[in-house]
Amino acid sequence: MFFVLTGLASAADDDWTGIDLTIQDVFAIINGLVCWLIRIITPIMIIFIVIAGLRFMHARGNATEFAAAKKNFNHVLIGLVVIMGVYVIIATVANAVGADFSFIPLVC
Amino acid sequence: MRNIYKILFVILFASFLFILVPAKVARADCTANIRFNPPGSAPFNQPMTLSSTVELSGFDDNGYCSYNRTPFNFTFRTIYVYYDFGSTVNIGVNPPDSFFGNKFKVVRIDLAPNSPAVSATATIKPSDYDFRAGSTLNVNAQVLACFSQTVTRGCAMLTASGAKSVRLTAGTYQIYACLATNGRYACSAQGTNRSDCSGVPNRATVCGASAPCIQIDSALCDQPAQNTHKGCLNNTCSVLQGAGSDTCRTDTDCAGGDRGGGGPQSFEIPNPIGINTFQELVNVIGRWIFNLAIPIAVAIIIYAGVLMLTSGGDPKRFQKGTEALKYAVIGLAVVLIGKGFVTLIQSILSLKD
Repeated sequence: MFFVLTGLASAADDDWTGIDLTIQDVFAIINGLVCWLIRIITPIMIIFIVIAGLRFMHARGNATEFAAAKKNFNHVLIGLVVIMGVYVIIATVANAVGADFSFIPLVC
Repeated sequence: MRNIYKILFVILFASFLFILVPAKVARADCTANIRFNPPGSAPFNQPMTLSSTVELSGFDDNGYCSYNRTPFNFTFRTIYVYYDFGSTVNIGVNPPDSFFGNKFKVVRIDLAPNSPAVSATATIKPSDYDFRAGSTLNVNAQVLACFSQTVTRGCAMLTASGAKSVRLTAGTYQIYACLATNGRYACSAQGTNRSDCSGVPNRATVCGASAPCIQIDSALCDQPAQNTHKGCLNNTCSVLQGAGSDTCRTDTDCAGGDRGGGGPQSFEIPNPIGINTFQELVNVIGRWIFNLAIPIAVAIIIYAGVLMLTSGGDPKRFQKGTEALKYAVIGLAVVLIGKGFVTLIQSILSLKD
């Protein structure tokens, strides 16, 4: 019986000249960018809610400033609903025109 | 000073403890024995079964064959039975990607715990490995046990059966040959049975450089070919298979095309895109754009939401966000309807029906 150990044996050393880029890959890149956008948007939403809250605090009983802060808060809420409901909006539109909407949510 | 004595005493005591701990009973290494009895003779172009039994011993507590060399313990959960008839194994790396040459057949066996005997069966066709009738196939069955870890891979050769001879008897087989100018089949030489007939000795002079390569039964080698005629092929006068009258006698009859000999030749370019009608093409492009549109719609709606988020109580900027959302929804609806517009107009035009 003989015994041989090889350290760090690599299976194959392919010469690395690049990847095969196809149109499917282009779709995948765009899809990936959108998926990234969906992920990055969550902290941004939180930041703007916090800013809206700070404006309420900063009003300190001042009626005009409070009204402005309230308006800002309303806008932030609507923006939030639009962002979080993006798939709902698309599904609603697709359903309204009678299209198949099995493509949502996007595969992230 | 007292402290030093204390420490020395503790060290001494601790070393006594180590001595008192009983040494582990050394366990036998994994060993294997192979019983391999191939048939004495076999037709060289028929599938032939190589079957052997591997007897293992030296199981560890988990029931696996293992090989202990402190600090490593190599547990073999997989063994490979390697029927070798003319290649070498690269023992450093795991099979089956580690053989030099191609004259082997490897059988992978995933061991169940406590299995003292396993059988390995492989089917080979000697003609696939360029063995011919009359020659001898020397098969050596070897048992490799392999382990695979993140940084080290390796195999141990546990046992080998030694070479066993199988006499290969006759039988016919398919071989690539070209029609020689003397009207006989010129077959590929031994071990060079290639589909372009490059294995035929002196192919260019015997058959002509562009003579077609055909597959025939090996019994027909060097026999006069039946049903042949001479015809033009690639501007040379070649012997062609199939009945027919000769259309050329020498290569000059075929040169220049219009001097006769060859009939009309047809060729076609295969459709590279695989789409045959214009409507299909439009549909495919439409599907592409549709696939693109969905992620873009998501991105635009999110952008509209961000515009609203960042408006900060400014009605003008908020208005911009709602506009963006509105147009995104309208655009999405148009994209989704897509082909529907065509059918809509079609249905309007055919209101008569």
